Order: sequence, then structure tokens, then C-alpha cells
Amino acid sequence: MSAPRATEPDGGAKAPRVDHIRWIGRLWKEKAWLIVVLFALTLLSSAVAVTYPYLCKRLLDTIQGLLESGADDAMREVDRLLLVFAAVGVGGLVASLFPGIRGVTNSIFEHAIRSKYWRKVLAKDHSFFSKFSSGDIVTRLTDDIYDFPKLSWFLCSGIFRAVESISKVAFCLGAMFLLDWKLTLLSLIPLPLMIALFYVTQDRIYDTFQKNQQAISAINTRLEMSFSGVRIIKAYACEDKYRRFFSDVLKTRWNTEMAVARLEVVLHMIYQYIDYVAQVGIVFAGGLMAVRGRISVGTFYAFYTYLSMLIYPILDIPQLFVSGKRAFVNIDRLEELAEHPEPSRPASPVPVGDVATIELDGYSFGYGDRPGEALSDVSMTLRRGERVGVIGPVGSGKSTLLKALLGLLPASSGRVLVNGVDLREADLAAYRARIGYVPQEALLFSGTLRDNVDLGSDAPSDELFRVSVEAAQLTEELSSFADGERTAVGQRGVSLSGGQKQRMAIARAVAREPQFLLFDDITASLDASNEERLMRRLDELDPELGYLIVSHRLSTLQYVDRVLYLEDGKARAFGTHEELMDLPWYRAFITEHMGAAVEAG
Amino acid sequence: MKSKKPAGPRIGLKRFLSYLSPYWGLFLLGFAAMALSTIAKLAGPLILRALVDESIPNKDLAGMIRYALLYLGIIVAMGALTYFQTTTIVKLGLNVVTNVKRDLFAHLLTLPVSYFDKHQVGELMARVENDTEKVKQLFSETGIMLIGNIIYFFGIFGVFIAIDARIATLVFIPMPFLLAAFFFIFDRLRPLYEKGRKKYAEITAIATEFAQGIEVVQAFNREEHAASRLERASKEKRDAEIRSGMIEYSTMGFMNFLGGPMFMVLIIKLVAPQVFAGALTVGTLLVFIEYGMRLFEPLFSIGENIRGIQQARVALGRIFGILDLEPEPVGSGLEPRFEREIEFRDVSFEYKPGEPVLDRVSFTIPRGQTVALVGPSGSGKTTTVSLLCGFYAAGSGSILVDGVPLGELSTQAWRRKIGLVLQDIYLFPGSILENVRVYDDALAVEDAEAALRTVHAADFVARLPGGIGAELHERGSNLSMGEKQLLSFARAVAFGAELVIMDEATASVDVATERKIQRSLDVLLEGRTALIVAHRLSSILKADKILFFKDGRIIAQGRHDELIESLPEYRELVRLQFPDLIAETESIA
Repeated sequence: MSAPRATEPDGGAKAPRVDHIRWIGRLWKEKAWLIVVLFALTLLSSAVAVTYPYLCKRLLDTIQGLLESGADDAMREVDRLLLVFAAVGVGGLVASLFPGIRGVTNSIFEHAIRSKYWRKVLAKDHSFFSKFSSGDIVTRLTDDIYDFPKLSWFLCSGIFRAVESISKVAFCLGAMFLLDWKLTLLSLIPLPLMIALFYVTQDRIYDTFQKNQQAISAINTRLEMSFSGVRIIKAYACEDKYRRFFSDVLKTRWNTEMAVARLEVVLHMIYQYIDYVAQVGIVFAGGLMAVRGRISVGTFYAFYTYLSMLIYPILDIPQLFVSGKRAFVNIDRLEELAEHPEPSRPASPVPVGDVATIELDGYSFGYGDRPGEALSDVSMTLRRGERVGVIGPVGSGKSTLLKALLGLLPASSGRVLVNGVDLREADLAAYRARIGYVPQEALLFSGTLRDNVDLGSDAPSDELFRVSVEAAQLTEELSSFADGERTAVGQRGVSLSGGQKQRMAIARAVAREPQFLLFDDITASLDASNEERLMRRLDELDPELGYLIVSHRLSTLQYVDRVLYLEDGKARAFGTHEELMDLPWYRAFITEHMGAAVEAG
Repeated sequence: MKSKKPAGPRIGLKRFLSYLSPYWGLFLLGFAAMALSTIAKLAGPLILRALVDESIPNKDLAGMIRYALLYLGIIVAMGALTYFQTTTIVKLGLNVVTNVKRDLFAHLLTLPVSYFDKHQVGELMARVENDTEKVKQLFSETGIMLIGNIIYFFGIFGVFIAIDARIATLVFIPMPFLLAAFFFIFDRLRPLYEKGRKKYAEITAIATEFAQGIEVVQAFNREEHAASRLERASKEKRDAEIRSGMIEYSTMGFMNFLGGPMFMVLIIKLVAPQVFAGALTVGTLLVFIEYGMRLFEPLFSIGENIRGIQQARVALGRIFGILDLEPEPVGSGLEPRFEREIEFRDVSFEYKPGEPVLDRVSFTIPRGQTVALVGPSGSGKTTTVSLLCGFYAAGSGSILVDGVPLGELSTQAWRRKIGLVLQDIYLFPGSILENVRVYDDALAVEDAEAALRTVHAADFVARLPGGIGAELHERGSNLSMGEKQLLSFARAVAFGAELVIMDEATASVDVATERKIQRSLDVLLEGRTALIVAHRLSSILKADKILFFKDGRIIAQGRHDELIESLPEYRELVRLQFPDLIAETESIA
């Protein structure tokens, strides 16, 4: 399978086939009472709207009649009708709550959908996050959901506008039939043509809209990478290139958006034209009948008004399908996130108490987009109280090893064992609660320094914070910041130096009061003297602490009991440094490093 | 962050119009089409009146047909005009918004690094993408529609006055009150809309940062924390929208009640007696009813349009706020010459006032030499690098290139002389090729390939599917840390810099690869100048000069052997990092 291109728009829409209707039904069930109220108010609102032309008809005919009969108390008759008008008006007032509740329900749905799918995203594993860039995920959780004419609008306003239209049309037709069935049939002639035209353009809308959403995702991806990597862009003076680069995606979007707009206008025009022609038909036929005296002026006016009243709802009903198609694209994009396979969780997980051993048993894992495996048939054991150093050449799988031990990666074969139990059967959260992890890149989150360290602990306290910060040798620096622990840290902690960020990550892991610590190559940002102090402090805090530390620095090996040598994803050797020095190739590897020192010395 | 000038409303409008002016032709066309179609809309009831008053009572079939045909003609015209109007205006909107996005993005890239440190990426994304989309609303449903509705409203009113000025006046009386009530309510709504938009940007930012840091989230069992943080922002947005929605729609409902059935009652009470008195015809009553019902449509639409315009105005305000920000200094445009040396003279710097990071640092980097910076982390080494790249300006003291202060040189030209390899390796989604040349297509593929060979990255690249064209995942997650290092290295090589600046870049690479890099580094540094923030022994030993930093000051300068003799802290550093070296040295000595 070729490398997933999550950043470029696909040629065609390849969305998972979701049962959209059922999806919507499930969502509605969560707010069932709101939906019911909306239905009731919709019907009331349509009924009220349809009553007015009838009342006008009665009024006109009454006035006409009173004119001809020349009665004196003419206005009294009229006043009575006006009272009815006012009464219907009050009904309309009640019904007018409807758009408000509709709008509110949109917002309620938007929030419900977002939080539901966000939680699903958080449960996904490594394969998911390599397939979907963060810009893409964020687009699907924001742009796809929010506001007209996207998903949350459709789910309530969109559908209920259609319900309102359908009920209005139904009531209108009912009233028209009661008045004059011949004239009613005349008005219905254009309908079949409309439905046929609609089905013809249906699929084109989905593809066009899908392409536009992809163009939007592409824009967001380029924005994200430009702003995140701004230092590099500036350092290599590539601002102009990036402007052109961004212009390209803008151009694509312009085209896709225009395509969507044109298609929508065309559809809109088709229906509008047909109904206007129908209106003219009424003027002709109805006018003819009125001239011939077959219907009253009041009836003629009522029909004219009913037809005007019909135009908007009839135009709107196909909109349901158009915006529905668009909303289905959004639903598909969300379901694509949700349906991505999750790591399976056991029904009754084996509880994990104190972690005595962590093992890899014939563990293999491949990243999928490159040939070969990142880890191949690796077996090793880490015991409580034991320190293991992991060394090896670039790309030999050291970072992957740590992620595997955390259960972050799906093994292609072999297993991870905790206290002899397969991690897949065990209580993963309880296991992770006892492990501290320091990734290569610090990955801090926006908030205060205190927030970031507290993130590591299940029971944060002032004392724990103090101890963790001290172990990571941040105490002095922390007090030098004007806001101290309340200093705000930006996204990815960029206002701190690399070393400070790394030590924050260490403090965070220490705050966990873990039984095992996994250090992924912290040597990049922690110099030898700090490393020494850290190791000493860790020893003091918990002599039983087990840890695994990836390193490229020989000096690290003085703190470990055993060494694991990884090469090309395979565990080539596992033993004490002294034992391994008997192996000629190992000795050569170490000597090379030593050799460099002797040379220069 | 300095602004050029405050973006007041008049200035905002003028600037907005400047985006509109290239397309004034489109605008006029759309506007004309809309005006004409609005006038056509007005004609309908008048034809009805003619039918009711003349053709029907007079049983004039021919006349009726004439009027019906006229009606048909008007409707056809209206249809065509509406189509034309809509496509024109959508195109106009797209053009303007695309230009705004382009300008906004371009301007953001000129802003200094400090701006990006203070603003989350997700927030900036929301500005460029979402706020500009709100501006598009000015064109589609709102801005132009508003004008159309105003024309329609006054058109109707004109007809009323033409028929019966007294009734028209009486009808008019409630309108100003209704409009005033509208504006009052919508003004109260504005802060709620603003809150909603702010929360939206916040949601984007939160989602972005947790998605990027998902490993930490999962490793620390903080899924619930990440979930509830997003949910909190989402809930606040929802609540703001619920409040604004309820206020808005219940107001509208009440207005509709007053403007609909109650207004009808008013009209009929005024007009019916006149009809009975014979002063007005039934057809005229019909016109009053027809128009009367239509009178409030544009009025309420105006209310809706204004809401959209307010939202757009808020978004525009934020957009112009960014466009007003002072870009980073480009320097006085002098072409930099680097032939002798770079000098830091008494340079001090603080990110936040009161927290100095560099304190009167002085040193020189002679051309062709390699200078290494060592010292505990947080002692100011990375900051020195940032200052030399021109990312920040020194607080006091000066940085001189061949005696010329950095501020007087063209910033871009100076940066082009630098090859920067950072601690925080940034790799972009895209191919390896594009990552090496940072999307600068002026750099040939062959040059990029040569650069990869130099840093010994060519073999691992060749093993990837697609070779140099292989796509990297976000932030290069499908490569190992070491491989990422090599790529960022290749960047510097490909751009052929005169001054190589490396910030602890070689530290996390293993011994074998480091030797490869050392060898190619030797080739690279041949004849070039280098400043290396070093953790590796090899870099330190090969350096012509080592600067030992502590607490923002240089406490010693010299070659390795000199410092070993003279500086106990240096000895300590080396002892911890390279224990066997000291033993060797001592045994030799």
C-alpha cells in the first residue's frame, strides 16, 4: 500500500458507505423531546400560515358583498372578521418560538457531535494518527460540523425547514382543493418535471461538495504547517515560496467553491423558473375563470396568495436533498474517523497491581508505509528495580520500542506482557498509571507550567510538584520566572528553551510517581551534568524504580544495569555492559565511540 | 506587538472597499441585476389590481390576457436577473475573500517569531480560514441583500404614498419604533456572537494541540482531560449561541406578530371604510394588503442581514487587526558582507521584562572558524542563536557583521547566508525533496539529492517507497529521530550557507551515523564559518573556539585544552559526559 496522502485532495470521493438516515435517527433519539416539540410547533406554524389567505378571501368577498348590498353596519361585519385575524395571529406568535428552538437545537447537536467524535479520536491508536493529519482531524471536528450549511445546521434547521415546507405545501394544497379542485390540478402540473430534474443532478452535488471540503482540509493543513514551522521558513528565507504555495490551494478552493455555487444556482433557477411559470398559469386560468364569473374575486386572490405561499416551500423541499447530500459528506467524514479500527479492549481486563515485570515476547511491528519492520521478533524483560539502557544506530527502532512498551502500537506478531499477562488482556489504564514516559520531543500543552507537570499525576499536590521539579532540576529556573509556576506555556512550549521543555517533560513523568520510567533519548536536550544529577535524584526518590533509557551517549551506560542493543529493529544483544564487551562487534561499536575520544585527546 | 495605527470603523470600511475595487465591474453588474429584479418584484401586485379593478368587473378577456402576458414577461425577466445576480455576487465574494486570505497569510509570514510564540497555531488558522469566510457573508446573503431589501422597502412605500398619502403616513408610524427595537436588541447580541467566535478558535486550538500530542495524552491516561477541555470550550460556545439564539428569535417572533396579523388589522381598519365610502376600489385594498404583508419582509430581512454584517464586521476587525501589525524589521536593506567576522558586543536580551536571558555577552566569530557554545541548558545558548538569525532583536548592545550592525542589513539577505539546523526539527507534510528544499523550487532536485548524499542520508531515503519523493507524515512521524536529523542537516547543505548555525542538532544521533556526519561536516565546514551549540565531544574538540555559557554570561572562552586547564566547571562538564577522555588525558599528561 503506498504512503497515505492525507494532505492532498483525492481524485474522487471514496467515502465509507454509512447509513445516514439511521445515523440521524440515533442522534435525534438523544434529544427526543426537543424533536417532538419542534414537530408540533412546525405543524402549528404551517397551519397558521395557511389560514391567512383563506381569511383574506372571506374578507374580500364580504366587503364585495357588503358593497353591493350597501349595508350600513358594514364595518361591524368586517370588525368581526378582524377579531378572527387577531386570534390566528396569537397562534402564530406561539408558533414563532419554532425558529428559536430550531437554532438552539442546532447548537446542541453541534456540541454533542463534536464531543462524541473527539472522544472517539482520543481512543484511536498510532495507525489512525499517521493516516489523518491534525489539520484534517480538526477540520472534520469544526468546519464540517459548524454553522450553515454544514452538518449541525442540517440536522435540525435543515430537516425541519423541509418538514415546515412539506406541511405548508400539504395544508396549502388541502385548502386549495377545498376552494376549487380544477384550478388546484392546474397548479400541480410542473411538479413531476421538477422531481425528475432533481434526481439527475443529485450525484454531481455530492462529488462537487466532497471536493470542496477536501480543498478546505488542504488549506487548513498548509496553514498549520506554515505556522508551526515558521522559524524554518524564516531562516531559509522561503516566505515567498510559501505564499505561492498557499496561493495554489486557494486557487483550487476557488474553483471547487465556484463549482458548488454554480451547481446550486442552476438547481435553484430550474425550480424557480418552473414555479413562476405556474404562477402565470394561475393568472391566466384563474383570471379567466374570474372574468367568466366562475370564481369570486376573493377566491382568485386566495389562489394567487396560496401559490405564492407554495413557491418557497416547494423550492425548499429539494433543498433537503441537496443539503442532505452535503451533510452526508460531513457524516461520512466523521464516520471515517470513528470507523478507523481501534485497539481492541478486553471485556473484563485483568487487573494490574504493582508492576513487577514488563516483557516483550517475540514482538514485531511495522509502520506499514515502509518495507520491513521497525521492530522484529524482539524479546526482552525489564524488572522492577532494574535499569536498562537501549543503544543502537539511527532508525534501529529504539523510540518504537518505548511506544510498544506503552501499548501505543498494534503488534503484527508477538506480545507485550505485564507481570506475565498479555497487555491486550490487561487493564491498560492501570498499567499506564504506573509508567512515566518522557518522549523525545517534549510535547507540552498550553496552560501553566504547573498544569503541565500536574498533568502527569493522578493526585497532584504542591509537595509532589516541588519534588518533581526539583528532580528535573528546574527549581532555580522556575523561581527566576516572574510568574513562577503560573507562567503560561504556549503550544508546544515554545517560549522555553529545548532543555527546559525536556526537563518539564521529565518533571511531568516524575510527578506520576511511577514504578517504571521510560526515557526516549533525552540526551539531545539534557547535558551530562544534568543527567547525572537526575539519575542520582531518581535513585534517592525511589530505589526500586525501574527504568529504560534510550541513549546515544556512552556516559549514560554507567547508570544502567543492563544494555539492550538494537539494530535494524532486532535485539542483537541484551546483557550487562561487561558481558557484552566480550562480543567483538559490540566492543568495536563502543571502541569506535571511545576511539573518537582517544583520537582527539 | 506594535500596530501601525488603530483600525477604526471608517478606516476599516475604506480598506474593505480597497479589496472590492478591483472587482467594481462585477459589483455594479450584480447590483444592477439585483435592483432591476427588485423593481420587477414590485410590479406584481399592481398588475393584480388592474385585473381586479378593470378586467374582471368589465369581463374584458383581451385586457386580462394582455396583463397576464405582461406578468409573464416580468417573471421571466426576474428569473434571469436573479440567476445573473447570484452568480455574479458569489464570484465577487469569492474573489474578495480569496484575496483577503492571501494577504492575511502573506502578512502573517512577515510577522516576527515572537508573535508566533504568543499565538497558538489553531487560533491563527481560524483567523485565516474562518474569519474570512464570515466576510464572504457580506456578499452572499447579507451585504447585497441588505441593499436590495432597502430598495424594496422604499419602493413599496413609494407606491403607498402614490395611492393615498394619509394612509401611507399612518402606516408608516410604527416602523421607526420597530426598527429601533431591532437595532437595540441586535446591539446587545453582538458580544454574544463575539464570544461564540472566540470559542470556535479556542476549540480549533485545543483539538490541534491534543491531536499532535496524542502519544503523551494516551501514555498518561489523560484522554478524559483532553476530552473535557475541548468539551468545556464547546459547551461555552453552545451556551453563548443558545442565549443569543433565543433572544434573537423570540424578538423576531414578536416582531412578526406585530408586523403580520396586527399590521393587517391596522390596514383593513384604515382602508375598508374608504372602500365603503367609494373613495378607494377593492383592487386598491388588495394592493394595500399585498404590499402590506410584504412590507415587513424586507424589514425583518434587514434585521437578519444586519446580524450577518455585524458578524462580518467583527471578523473584519480581527483581520485588519492582524494586517495592521508591524512586520518584523527587514533591516535597512544593506547587502550583508561577511568576510571578516561576526561580533557580539555587550549583547543583553530578555524575553520578558525583568527576566534577563543574556547579560552583556561579547565574543567574535572570525570567518572560516568554528565556534562552539557549551554550558548548562537554559544558559542562553539557544537565545544567542535566535538573535543571530534575526528572530529577535537584542535588547542592548549590538551584533555586528564585518562591523555593520545586524539591524542595518537586509534581514532576508542575511538569513540566506545562514544554514540553520534546529533543536526542534521541523519537518513538513510533503515529500523528502520538499522538506530538504523547504518548497523552494529554485533549488534543483539534483542539488537536493547531492545534499542528501553529503549527509549520508541518501541510503535511507533510497529505501523509502518513492525515494526522494516519499511522503512524510505530519512532523515526520514515519522517520526515526536520527533520520529526521539527517534531513534537517541536508537542508542546510542544500542551501549552501556561508554560516552554519547548529543548535544541538547532532546530539541525538548515534555514534556510527555521527561519524558519517562528522566526516561530511568537515567537508561542509571547509571554508565556511560555523556556530554550534554543542553537546557532542567531537564538535567541541574540533572547534576553534569554545564559549562556556552560564546564567546568560560567557564565563570563559578558548580552545578545549585551554579550558580543561583553566576552568573547573568545564572539566566537570567533560568529565560527566566523556569520563574516559579525562582518564586518557590524565594518563597522557
